[in-house]
Amino acid sequence: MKNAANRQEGILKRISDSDAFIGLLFVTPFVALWIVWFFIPLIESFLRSFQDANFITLETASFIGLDNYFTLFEDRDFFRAITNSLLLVAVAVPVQTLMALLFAMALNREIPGKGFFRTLYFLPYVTSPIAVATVFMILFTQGNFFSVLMSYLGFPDTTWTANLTLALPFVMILYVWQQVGFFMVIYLAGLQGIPRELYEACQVDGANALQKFLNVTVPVLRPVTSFVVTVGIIYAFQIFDQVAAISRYGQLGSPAGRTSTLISYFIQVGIREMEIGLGSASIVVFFLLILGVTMIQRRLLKERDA
Amino acid sequence: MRTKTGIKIFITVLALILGLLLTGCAREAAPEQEPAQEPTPVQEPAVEEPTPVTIRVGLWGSEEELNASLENAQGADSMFPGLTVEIQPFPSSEDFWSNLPAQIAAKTAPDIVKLTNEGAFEFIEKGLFVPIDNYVADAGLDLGTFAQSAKDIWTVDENLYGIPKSVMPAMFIINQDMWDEAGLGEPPTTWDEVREAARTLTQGDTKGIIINLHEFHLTNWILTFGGGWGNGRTINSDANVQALETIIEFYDEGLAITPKQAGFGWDGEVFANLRGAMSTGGWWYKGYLATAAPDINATFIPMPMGTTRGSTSHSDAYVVLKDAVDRVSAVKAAYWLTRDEALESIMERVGINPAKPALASKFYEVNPEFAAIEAMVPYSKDFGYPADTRNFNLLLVQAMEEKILGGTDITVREILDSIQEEFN
Repeated sequence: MKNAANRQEGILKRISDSDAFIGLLFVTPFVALWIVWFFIPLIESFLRSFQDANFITLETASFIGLDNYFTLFEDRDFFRAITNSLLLVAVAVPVQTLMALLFAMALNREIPGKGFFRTLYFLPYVTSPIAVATVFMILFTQGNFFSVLMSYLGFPDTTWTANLTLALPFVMILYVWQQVGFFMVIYLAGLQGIPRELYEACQVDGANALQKFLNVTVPVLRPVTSFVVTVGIIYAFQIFDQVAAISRYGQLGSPAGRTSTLISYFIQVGIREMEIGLGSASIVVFFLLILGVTMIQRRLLKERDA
Repeated sequence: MRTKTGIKIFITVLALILGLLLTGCAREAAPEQEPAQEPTPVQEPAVEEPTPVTIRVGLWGSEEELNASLENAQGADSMFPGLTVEIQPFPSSEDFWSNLPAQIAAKTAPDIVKLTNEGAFEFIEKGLFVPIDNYVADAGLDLGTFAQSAKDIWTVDENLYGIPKSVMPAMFIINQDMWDEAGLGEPPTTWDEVREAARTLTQGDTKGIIINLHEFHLTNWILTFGGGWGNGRTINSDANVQALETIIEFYDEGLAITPKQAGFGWDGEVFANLRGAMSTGGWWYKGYLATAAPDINATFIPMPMGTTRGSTSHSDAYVVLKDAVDRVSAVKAAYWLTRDEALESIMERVGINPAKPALASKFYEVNPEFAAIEAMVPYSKDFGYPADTRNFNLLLVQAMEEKILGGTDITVREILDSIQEEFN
C-alpha cells in the first residue's frame, strides 16, 4: 500500500515536472478557445452549406445537397465578388509589400527624427478603418484635394466612390495606406537582424547599393517576405470595413457592386438576407480559395529557396 | 509512458475547460416555475404579486427620438404591474439588421422592434414577426384609438402585425434660403416646376436636387406618375418606366446629385452640407436637421406631381419578434410606448404624426412646418415591394447606379423588364 502511494506520488511529480505537461498546460486555453470559436463554427458552417437554412426558421433547415453551391456558381454577383477579391489581392499585396520594404529600409538608416517617422507610418494601422474611410471619401470627392491631385496624373476629377471604374482602386488605396505601416514594422525587425558583416563583405567585393540589396537584403529577408506576403494575402481577402464604410446607408458593395468582396457578399446574403445556408456555402468557397492561393504562394517561394 | 499520461491529463483538462466555456455560453436558464401551491384556507383571497418581466425594445432613429423613447419607456409598471420596458438602441437600421441574425441565434434579440412599414412585408412573409391579435385580446388592450388607415398598413391576410406609432406621407424638402435667394417664388407642385427651379439652383458645388438612388426615393417618384411595384406584379409598368426616365433626365442635364457623388451616406447629409437644394424625404429630416444643421431653413411640401398626386405612406409600428419570450407582455410594452403621452412627446420633439386621430389634429398645430403635408395623407400608399424585398432592392438600385453612375446604354425599360422577369 505504501509502495503504491509512493509510486503514485512519483508519477504525479514526474508529470507535473515534465516540459511536455507544462507546455500543454500553457497552450490549453488557446486551443480550447480556438476549438470553440473557430473549429466548431467552421464545422457548423460546412454542414450548413448543404442546407436550405434561414436564420428566421433555423429549426426547419433541410438538407439540399450541393444546391447552394450550384446557386452560387450561377450568381453573377458571386463571381463579381470573387473577381474583386482576387484583384484586391493581386494589386494590394505586391504594392504594400514593396512599399513596406522601401519604408523599412529608409527608416533603418540613421536619420534625424527616425522615431517620429516610424510612429507616423505606423499610425494609420492603429486608426479606425471607418474613420479613415470617411475622411478619404471626403478627400476623394470631386473638387477636393486628392481628387484634384490625381487629376494631374491623368485620372478624372470625380468622386471616386461614385465612379464605377475608380471605386475599387479607391478601396485599394485606402487599404494599402492603412496596412503598409504594420508590414513596415515587420520588415524593420527583419532588416535589423541582417548581420553587418554580409554588407561589409559585399563592400570589399566592390558591390554597389543595388547589388547589396539584391544579393544580401532580399535573400536574407526571404522568410520575412514569405510571412508578409502570406499574411498580406489573408488580410486582403478579408477586406470589409472599407467596403462597409463607403456603402454606408446603401447596398453593400456599391456603387453597383463594384466594391463587392467575398466577405461583403456573405454579409449581404448570409446576414442581411438571413440565407445562412447559401452564405455558409460562400464562406466554404472563400476558405478554399484563400487556402489554395496561400498554398500556391508558399510553394512558389519554397521552390525559389531550393 | 510519461507522454501518454501527459496527453491523458491534457485531454482531461481540455474537456473540463471546454465544459466550463460551453456552460458559460449557454442561454440563460428559463426562470424556475413556482411550484403549485395548495389553496390556503383563509377568508381573504391571497393577492398575487405580478411576475416581473422585462421586455426589450430594439429601435433606431435620431438622437432626439432615442432620447424621447428612453424617457417614454419608464414607468410601464404604472399601467402594467411588473412590466419593465428596456430600450436597446441601434445606431442605424443597417446595424440592427446586421446584428439581428446573431441575436436570434444567441436568443438575445429584442422582444419587440420599432420598424417602418418599408420592407416589413418580407419579414412578415418569412415569419420573423408574429400576428398580435390574440395577444392584444389576452392583454385586454383597446386599439380603437388608433387610426384604421395605420392599422390597415400593418394588416396582412387579416392579421394585425404591429401596434402603429405613426403614419406620415413622404414629402419634398426645400432649402428655403437658397430658394428665396434665387428669387423663385412659390414652391413647386410638379416635377416640371422642380426641373425649372433646379436649373436656377444648380450653382458651383450645389445641385438643384438630390436624388438618392435608394428604393424609398425611387418608389416615391413612381407613385407620382401613377405607378407602383404591385408587390412584384407591376414592376415594368409604363408609369414606372416614365418615372425613372424622368430621374435620368435630371441627371443628364446635370441638375441632380446622389449622396455618393457628394461623398455622403444619405440625402439628409447632402442637404445639411448645402450640396443640394431640394430632396425627397420624410419627417426624419426635422429631427436630423435640428442637430446636424440647425441653421438651415427647410420647408416641407407635398411630393411634386408627375401625372398624379402620390407618395409613400410611412408608418412606424412596434412589432413582436417570433422569439419573444412573453408575447402578451410584449404587446403591453408596445401599447405603453404608444400611449397618448408618449406619442405627444415624440410628436413635439421629432415631428412624427401619431397614428391616433385624436392626436393627429394637434400634430399640425405643434408642427406647423408639416401643415402642407396633411393634404397628402389620402394619396399616400404603402411601398408595394415584392415579398423578396431585399433582392428586389438590390437589383433595382444596382441597375440604376449602373445607368446613372456608369453611363451604360441600357434603357429603363430594359432594366425594369429584366427585374420583372426575376419576380414573375
